[in-house]
This record gives sequence, structure tokens and C-alpha cells, in this order.
Amino acid sequence: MATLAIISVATLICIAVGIPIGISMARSNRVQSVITPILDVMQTIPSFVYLIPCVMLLGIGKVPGLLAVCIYALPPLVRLTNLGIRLVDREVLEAADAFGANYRQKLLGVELPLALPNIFAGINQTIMMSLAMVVIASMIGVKGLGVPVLRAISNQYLALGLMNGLAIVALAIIFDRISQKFGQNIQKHRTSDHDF
Amino acid sequence: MTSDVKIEIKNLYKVFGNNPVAMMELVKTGTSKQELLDEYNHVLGLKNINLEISDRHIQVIMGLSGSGKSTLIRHINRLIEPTAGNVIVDGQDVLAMTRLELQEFRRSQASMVFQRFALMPHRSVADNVAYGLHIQGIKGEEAEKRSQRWIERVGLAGYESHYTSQLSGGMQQRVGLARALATDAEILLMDEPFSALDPLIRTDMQEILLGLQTELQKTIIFITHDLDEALRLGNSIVILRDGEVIQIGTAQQIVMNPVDNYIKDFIKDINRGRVIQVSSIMNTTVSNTGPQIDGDTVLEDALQVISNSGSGVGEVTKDGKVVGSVDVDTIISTLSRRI
Repeated sequence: MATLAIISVATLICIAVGIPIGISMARSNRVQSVITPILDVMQTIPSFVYLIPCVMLLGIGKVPGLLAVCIYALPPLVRLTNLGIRLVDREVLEAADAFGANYRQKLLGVELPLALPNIFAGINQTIMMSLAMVVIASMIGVKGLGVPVLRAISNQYLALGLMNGLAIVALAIIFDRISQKFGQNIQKHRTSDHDF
Repeated sequence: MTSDVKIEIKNLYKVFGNNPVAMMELVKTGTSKQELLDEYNHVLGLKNINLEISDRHIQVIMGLSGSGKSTLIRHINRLIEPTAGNVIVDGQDVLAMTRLELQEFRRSQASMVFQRFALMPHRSVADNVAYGLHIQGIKGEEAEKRSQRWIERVGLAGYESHYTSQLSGGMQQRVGLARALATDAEILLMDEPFSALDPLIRTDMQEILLGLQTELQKTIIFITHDLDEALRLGNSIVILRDGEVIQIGTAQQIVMNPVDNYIKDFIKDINRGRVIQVSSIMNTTVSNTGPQIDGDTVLEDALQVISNSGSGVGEVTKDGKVVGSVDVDTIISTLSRRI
């Protein structure tokens, strides 16, 4: 349950932060060229490295754990939001312009709806990556499925490690299916075939 | 066929590249398009376009790909900013408008139909048609009622809740047309609207458009690369090449008096019998011996009428009055003349 909680909160934070960053990246090439290397760093730097300052500044507990999870899980959502908006058909955007749509109408009425498949792939990735982080987060005092896994690793308890590892996998599969199904439901038009 | 000028385009230039303004001097002193591209790496899109578009007419802009026709139409609602020149609609300079004025202009005065439809795949047919209205803030029943009228008018009743990906190309463009008409804008910009459709559907769509035009009397700017389409639809035709106007005139003027070899090449394959009207080749002597033929009749039909009457000569009338005559020999020699 603790794992579920931290993943849900981390995902919500990532959505709230990641989608606006993705939109601003899609708007300007300069923003994109600044943010892309930052995302690269966030994804590739060993998580232990930023766990140290997190713990130094915020101590042991849920908050630094959450921060660590978010740092790791945010990049795919930002990247895919950016990609999704950049892939929106230029002609459809031109049509929106030709009918006098303003900035907000274009963003909410055209760009975000059409970028939705990519944004959903990003949210899905974010959930998966935050699940992968729970074991590491448990090292700095986040409760949940990561704790027994960590104990299993340090004591070489095969059965305990396997059980809890599989529990994380099960959780991942459930989350994955739910988010994919939800994504499909809000964009039914893509699944409908040509019937002429 | 004279009437008020609705849209006036004056000395319009468009140069694409990193520093178009600096290139203007070169363009004005006569640097060619090729030179500009080779030496300065700028593309000359439009060069000194001057055009007056009459109110409530269909103005066709014709040219091959790369001639600048799509660039030109996008200047009218300022989807593209010109490098120099003026675009005046109803006495108002489109280029001087602020962002909000331009937005309002696009919402209420000029709507557009696109070559590849540019429909919103996430909206149903009804919502696509109502798009322009939604943008204007007209919602609910009012928008539904107004868009429903146009859905029926273009023959799409029953498809309101379909998504556009479920429709064929011809039906998608009907949605595009209905969407443009639903805003009740007086100017309709059509960028090669029927080019992506197969020939039979294209003829259908042309008929729908002509039918709508007799009823609605809008100012339509219609772009095409197909001369038959241009001759069929246009009250007036502009032919562009490499961003320059080559000839402006009615279908008759272009077919009878092409100004250069480029246009001669264009018109050599058309069916002259279905384009040229008797008034273009009649002589003004009145003989009062043959059947009466309206001046707008095309040669093919005139020939039929005259040969049925057995007289060899036809009287050409305009508004019911005899204004000249045309004989079979003239018609045949016009039909067979190779240019």
C-alpha cells in the first residue's frame, strides 16, 4: 500500500511538472536544446549520486524518496509530450489558425488531443520507471515493497526477494494495463477503421 | 461582368530565407529567381503581384507546383507574412491588423478549405463542421443548428457522428467545405481543394461548388493546377509562373489570346469546343437567317444547333438581342486550330 501511494503521488507530480515542460519544449527550439541535456543527466546519472544530497538536505524519509523517484521518472514524460506536440500535423494547425483560433484554443483543442497517444505512452513509462525506483528509494527510508527486497539482497534470502520482486512486477502490470486501457478509451476515434 | 473590388493585392513580394528584407533591393533591380537562389540562398516566392479580385466572383489562381499559388492565397488571410506589399480587403489593410483584429478577420470574414482537408481527426463530422463556430464561442444548440444546415447542404446528412477517418476523400472534403461555409464568411479561400480527389468525385465537387455559388454569391479564391477546372469554375483566371503573374483574364480571353508560349502549352490539350463561347468568335454583321444562339453557348453546342437547323449560320444573341452572327466554317476552323 505504501508503494502504491508513493507511485501514485510521484506520477501525479510528474504529470503536473512534466507536461508543461514538454509543451514549452515543443514551443521553442531554444528551450528544447537547454532541457534535453538536463533530461539526459537525470536519466543516466546513477541514482545513488543524487540520493546523497537529497538525504543531506532533507534527511531520511518519504520526501527525499519521492524526489528521487520523480527525478528518475520524469524524463520520458517530458520527452514524449514534446515529441507528441511536435508531431501534430502542421496542416491541421494551419487550419486552426485560418479559422482564427487563439493560443489556448490551439493548445487545448488541437495540439494536446492529437498528442495524447504520445503523452499517454509517456505517463505509462513514468509509472513503470517509478516502480523500478522503489527498491532504491527504500534505502533512504521509504516504506513499501522495496524494504523486504532490500533486506533479501543484504541477507541473500532468495525466496523473500523473489516474492517481493514478483509483487512489484504484479503491481507494474496492473498499473500498465489500467493506464493503457484508459488511454485507449479517451481516443476511440483512432481505433475505428475505414469502413468505406 | 464588372463589380466592386473585394480584395486588392498591391506590389506583393515574398522572399523566403534568412534575410528577406535585404534581398528586396536585388529583387527589385531585376535579379532572377535562379540567381537569388544560387548566389544568395534565398527563394523568391512571389514577385510584384498586383491583383484585384471582384466581389462575389470566383477568382481562379492557376499555376504549376512551385509557381507560388499556395503562397499567394496564404497572404490573403496572412498565414504568411509578405516581405513587401499590401493586401487590402474591403478597404482594410490586412497587414496592418493587430493580432486580435487578424483573429477576428479570420473568424468572421475569410474561411479556408485545404488541399489535404486538414480536418481534426479527434472530432466527429458534426464537431468538425462546427469548428469555426466553436472558435467564435458559439456553442450548443445554436452551433449545432447552423452546422447541421451545411452538413445537409453538402450531402453528408446521416454521417454527423462519424469520425473523419471513416470517410472517403470526397466526403472528407465535403466536411472541409461545410466547415468553411458554416462561419458565413464572405470570402472563401480554397487551396487546391479538389486536387487530391479522383476525377469523377472532382467533377461532383465542382458541381456542388457552382451550385452553392449561384445561391450564396461569395467571393471565392480558388487555386488549382488543372486548367479544365480553372476554365470551368473561374469568372476570372490568373496564371502564375515562378511567382509572377503571366496573364489575367476570363477563360475566353486566355484560350483565345494566350500571351506567351507557356500559356499556349497549357491550353493546347483542352477541349476547345467545350470552352470557347460563340460570342468570342462571332462577327458583328447581323444576317437574320439562322437560329438564335445565346452568346455564352460553347462551340460544340452551337454547332449542333446550327447544323440541326440546316442554315449554316447562327445568330448570336446577348440578353435576348441579336448582336452578331457565326457561321459553321468559322466554328470548325476555330475548333481545329492548333496553336
